[in-house]
Amino acid sequence: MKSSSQIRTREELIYALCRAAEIEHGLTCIYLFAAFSMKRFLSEGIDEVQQDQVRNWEAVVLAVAKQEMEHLGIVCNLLNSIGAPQHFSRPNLPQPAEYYQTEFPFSLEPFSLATIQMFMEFEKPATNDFAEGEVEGDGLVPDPIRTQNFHTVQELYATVLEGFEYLDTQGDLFIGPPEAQINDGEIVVGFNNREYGITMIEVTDLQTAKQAVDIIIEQGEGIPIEAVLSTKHARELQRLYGRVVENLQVMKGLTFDVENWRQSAELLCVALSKQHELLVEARELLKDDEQLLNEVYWYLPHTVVELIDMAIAELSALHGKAEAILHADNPDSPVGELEGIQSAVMRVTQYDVEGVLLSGFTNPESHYIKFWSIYEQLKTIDYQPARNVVSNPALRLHADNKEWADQVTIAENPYSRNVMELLNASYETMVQMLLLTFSYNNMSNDARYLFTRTAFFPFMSMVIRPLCEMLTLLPVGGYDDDRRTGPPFEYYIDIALLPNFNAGMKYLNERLVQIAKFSDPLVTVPEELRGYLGEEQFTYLREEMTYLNGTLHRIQQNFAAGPVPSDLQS
Amino acid sequence: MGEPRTTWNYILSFKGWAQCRMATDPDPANEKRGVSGYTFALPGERDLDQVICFQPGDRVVQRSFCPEVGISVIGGSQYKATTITNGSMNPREEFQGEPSSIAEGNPFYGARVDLVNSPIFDSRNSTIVYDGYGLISPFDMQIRTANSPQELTVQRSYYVDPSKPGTSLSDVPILELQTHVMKTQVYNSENLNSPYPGSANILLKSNILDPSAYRFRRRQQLEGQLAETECPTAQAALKKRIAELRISDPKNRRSAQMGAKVLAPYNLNSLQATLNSQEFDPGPAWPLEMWMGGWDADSLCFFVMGTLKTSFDFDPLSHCKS
Repeated sequence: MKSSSQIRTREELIYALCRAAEIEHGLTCIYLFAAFSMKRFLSEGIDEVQQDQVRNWEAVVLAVAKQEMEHLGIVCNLLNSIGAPQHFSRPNLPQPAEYYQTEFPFSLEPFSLATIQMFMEFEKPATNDFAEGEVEGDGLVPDPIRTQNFHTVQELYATVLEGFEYLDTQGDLFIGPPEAQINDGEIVVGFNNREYGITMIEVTDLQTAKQAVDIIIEQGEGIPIEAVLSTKHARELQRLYGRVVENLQVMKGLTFDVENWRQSAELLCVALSKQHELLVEARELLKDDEQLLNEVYWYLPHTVVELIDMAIAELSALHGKAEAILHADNPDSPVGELEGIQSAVMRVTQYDVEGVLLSGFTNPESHYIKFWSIYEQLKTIDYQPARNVVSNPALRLHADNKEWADQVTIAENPYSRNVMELLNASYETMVQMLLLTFSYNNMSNDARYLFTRTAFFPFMSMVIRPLCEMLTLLPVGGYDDDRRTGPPFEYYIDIALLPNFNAGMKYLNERLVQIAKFSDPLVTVPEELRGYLGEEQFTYLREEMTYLNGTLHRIQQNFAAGPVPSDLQS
Repeated sequence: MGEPRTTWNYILSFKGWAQCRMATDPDPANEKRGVSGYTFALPGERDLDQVICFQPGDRVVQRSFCPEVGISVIGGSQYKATTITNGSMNPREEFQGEPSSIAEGNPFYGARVDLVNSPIFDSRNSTIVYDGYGLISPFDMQIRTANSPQELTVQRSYYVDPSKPGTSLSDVPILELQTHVMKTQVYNSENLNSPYPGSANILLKSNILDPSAYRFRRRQQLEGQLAETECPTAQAALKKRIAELRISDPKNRRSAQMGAKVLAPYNLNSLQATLNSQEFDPGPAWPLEMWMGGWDADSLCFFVMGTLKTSFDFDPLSHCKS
């Protein structure tokens, strides 16, 4: 696939990679927020079977978030390889769709069907080659790198890859020190990395840069990989998919007004006929691979062929409705009805049809397909899987998101606010450690061991996660407010490299002391929460906060003990 | 150099399956249901509790087609000796008469070996030690002959510092604890042909010669059970197990962990031990060689094999309750 932008200088490549880092980082926060909004307890109005189903969805979303973190790490290695600084900065959320040129805004939303649809759009593969260059390269300062609207970050990485290829021909691209590269063994506590679905590539030349970018694209958008899913008709399905999306764009562009609705209705019907033909053709291809697809997608409530049949039936019904309006002598409010039909066609095509077609030729382990499989299951349930968590909860507005204040909910409950503050400080400190880990290329192995054994495990799993899980139980306002808060992942300062190692150690230790102390009074959970949450959840909260408090003190003590001599490393 | 004394010595070999219903990384250590790791509390089962169970009981959740929990003495030897203690370790022994085997008829034969007081693998995701397995804490080993006509219960503990038995692990500096972590040997497809001898041993002893095939057989059994199951909760539990067992890549930790062997270097060193609840001075540390392996994530069970040498200044069998 060709990209719509061209990179011709190191500066532009750095700019594009920094943008990629921001997107991966932002998506990590967005996915984590949704995952931790899911219900956990039977006392939250779910039964044991539903509890298991929700748990499975949470596991999928967390696994995707983990791979977004891996992508961020790989981008760090790519930046390191060309001698560039790391980029862990990002704007506070929410940010509008225009900010990253994505289909949806970057917004912290609780788990729901609509949220999963948003995730599918983030991870959807691009369909076309983009021959037109939108941006002039070769400048002294980088021009904006644009991702293709409607489709997602795949083009950004295609742009990056082309940039690497071009600049490598100009010579002297990989000027970063190889010892600064972070490898698999350094970031994982365990006996190998496959267990975590993490593959860190050390980037030292064009070949390894390509491998690194390929991993990101394959895991995310799941571009065609016949080796992974050998459907007989993968290429034909991909071609049909492109035509379906083109046709969708035609239908999406139609406008209906009182004067000229008939002309648009005719175009809609023509497009729906064409869509029907394409889907019937696709159905036959999928039918031919039915056995394989059933084996791969055994966990879905319907088979892939059943799903395309259902989508065809739904679009046919909508087509019939549009035809009926078109041929009625004097239809009542045709514009409203046609707009409703158009909207339904968009929904069915964009999620049901595209999902089922992509399942026939993309990597089943890709993020897109993982989200699509949740979407197909979510459509069939009749219970609420998530807590009543508000969108974009926050402690306060910041200079970079105050424009979107109407989409932010400022928490008022004092206890909730304290837990949010603890989370924000912990998150910021963890990111600071990651920045050091990926930046200090002269760091000793003993020191790097300390940093990775603090920032990854246990900080991510034993501090950030429990705080996020607790926050989605806590009220936004008073104890009569059913709205729950959540992890805001706020940044207060620009995350920048601490320039001196010894000063950095002291600074981070100071922060860890402050964080541990701040958590001390939070062990006393307000008694009002007992009535608000019920006994089971209240007990969980109290025990969890006590456990966390002990963990924070222990982490600080461990960090204060300093680098870990090699003979004491596990 | 201590005074020569007569000692009654029992070398007890034991084996069997244990269970630990624990969450696995990257779930937090205290995760109750299991989300992002590869171990789970299933629908219809109570929450995960991390407790290591060497014996059946209320904490054990027996899943279908899975090993039954229970570790017992399978043999060994006993002898009387003249012992000269030089410091706390390395006593010198001279046999008095000939050693005899611990076999059927001996009260210790078939005795239950247990870790009591709800031990866990305490790592807290590398907070206690920089290691995923952590330390078994507490480590209070009990040998109980309750099923034989003569009842005898012996218990002794391992402590990081035997002079401070009440110390919590979280009060001991991490770098000090790093010297006490269990050693791990991993057998997987990448070192199939390596000379490492433990791999074949562990898989043979636990009767899991091919982890992937073992998991595949279990999956087939469960699919058969699912076809005959009508209860929605039981169905959901079986589906979850089957979904996990479908992950058959031998390099995946679900299979590869079956070949991981964890050596527990816990000589029983407490300054006090008990015999039928009566405290006594047990003298030098009792050497313990114990390994755990064959970790079967579907059953939440692992195989245990070991040898403990106990030594008494009196004949413990004379204290048996008839």
